Amino acid sequence: MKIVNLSFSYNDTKIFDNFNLDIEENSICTVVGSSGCGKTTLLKLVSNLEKPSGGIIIKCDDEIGAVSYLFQEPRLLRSQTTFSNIDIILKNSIKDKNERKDKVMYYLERVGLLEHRQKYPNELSGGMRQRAAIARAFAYPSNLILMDEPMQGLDISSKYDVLDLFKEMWESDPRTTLFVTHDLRDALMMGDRLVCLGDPNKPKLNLDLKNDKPLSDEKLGYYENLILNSILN
Amino acid sequence: MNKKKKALTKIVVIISSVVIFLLIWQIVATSMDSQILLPKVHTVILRLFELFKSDDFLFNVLSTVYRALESFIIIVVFATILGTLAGRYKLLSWFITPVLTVLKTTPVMSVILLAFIWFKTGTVPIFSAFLMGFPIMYMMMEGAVEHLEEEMNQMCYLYGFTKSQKLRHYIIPTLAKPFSLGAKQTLSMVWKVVVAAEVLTIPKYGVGAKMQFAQIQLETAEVLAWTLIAILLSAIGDFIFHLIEASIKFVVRRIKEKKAL
Repeated sequence: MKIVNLSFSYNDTKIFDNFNLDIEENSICTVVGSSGCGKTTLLKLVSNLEKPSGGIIIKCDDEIGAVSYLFQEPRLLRSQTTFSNIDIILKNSIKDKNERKDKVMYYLERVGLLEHRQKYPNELSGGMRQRAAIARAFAYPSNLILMDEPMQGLDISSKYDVLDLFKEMWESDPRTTLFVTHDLRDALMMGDRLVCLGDPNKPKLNLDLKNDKPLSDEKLGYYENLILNSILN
Repeated sequence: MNKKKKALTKIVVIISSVVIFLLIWQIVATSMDSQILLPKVHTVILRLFELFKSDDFLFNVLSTVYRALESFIIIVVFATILGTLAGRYKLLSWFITPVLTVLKTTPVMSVILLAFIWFKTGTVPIFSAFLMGFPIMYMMMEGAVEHLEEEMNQMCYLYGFTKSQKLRHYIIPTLAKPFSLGAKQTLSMVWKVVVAAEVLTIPKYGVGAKMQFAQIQLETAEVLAWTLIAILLSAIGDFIFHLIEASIKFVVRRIKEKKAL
């Protein structure tokens, strides 16, 4: 994915000004930065929820590719069962009912919600709802996954369950992923690349972490300090 | 407290409340000893059974039911359409605001008296109930549409929902609850206004008209008996409404659960 000369202002404040970023296909790029630096805005621009005032975002050689979005809150349809929440988003791409059902069942099984498929979102725990959202994101035929702190609001054990599940799903079906988070450790553990936002025209930091994986405690500490200094400066 | 115990406690408390109320009524009526001021409970109940047996009882009840249902359906259709549009389009909402303010603040009696000048006797209850019930349903729908979540709209957009999918799976289910609540409140308002309008305009048949006749003849027991019938009609209306609502919910839920099997 390529972001070329991206410009966007909010209330006369330049969030992005000729901003450029290259993200390798089928890799996870984590995005960190202080509040208000444009992390969520970047996701909204990539997903067409916001229109840039300039520049272009090329998603996987396709300018208008479909996007799977994992929001801070799961945003499941309250009136639909867990099964239907995934079934609905496949209706346009898979017309055959049985084929669609098989796919929904497959993803529900992957996220451990098969026996909860008849339940409604309000009958699931927070972690289960976010797992359903992960199943929806992977079931949806997209090349790009955008994550806007989907673990926020979850207790610590659910958070790591969800993160591990995402990583497991992603490893068997890798897609280009932009993961916005406040948690530096999550960002370092999850990302193949880490981008720190703060300057409108370029990332404050753009770290290639691929070759350092798995990160040793020493490296983790080093990178955490580097990012913190970058955010604070 | 488990569900069954809670339901049983609820029934016991409600029955106790009714029994205590009837007991107080009977004590006060006995101490007053006046059939005109306050007849005893059993007198009213006997009068009620006499009314059931009377020739024109069904005509009177059905006329009131017909008027209430007619205005209820008109309100639900118009207020739902206008409220939904006003929730979506601010200009329309601003345009309707003054009319709505007038309707909300006008006393019921003024509406009935004015309608009596303008319309035929039988039309007055329908018209009055429409004016009084319309704001309830309208505001409920306008508020519900205004509060449709932008976040869910974004989700529908990102996951490629077509307009019809968004309508069927998100908008209609979200609006169903406020719609049902608004309709329920409108229905109770409609009963009251229709009976009040019948009292003032005295159509040939109607519960309110019968109440008025009884009041003129100082037949307090009959006034109370007709009042009980009006309360019963409203309760039956609520019950049927609840039954329809629960049946729809049950069927929809079963269909969705079956789909997920």
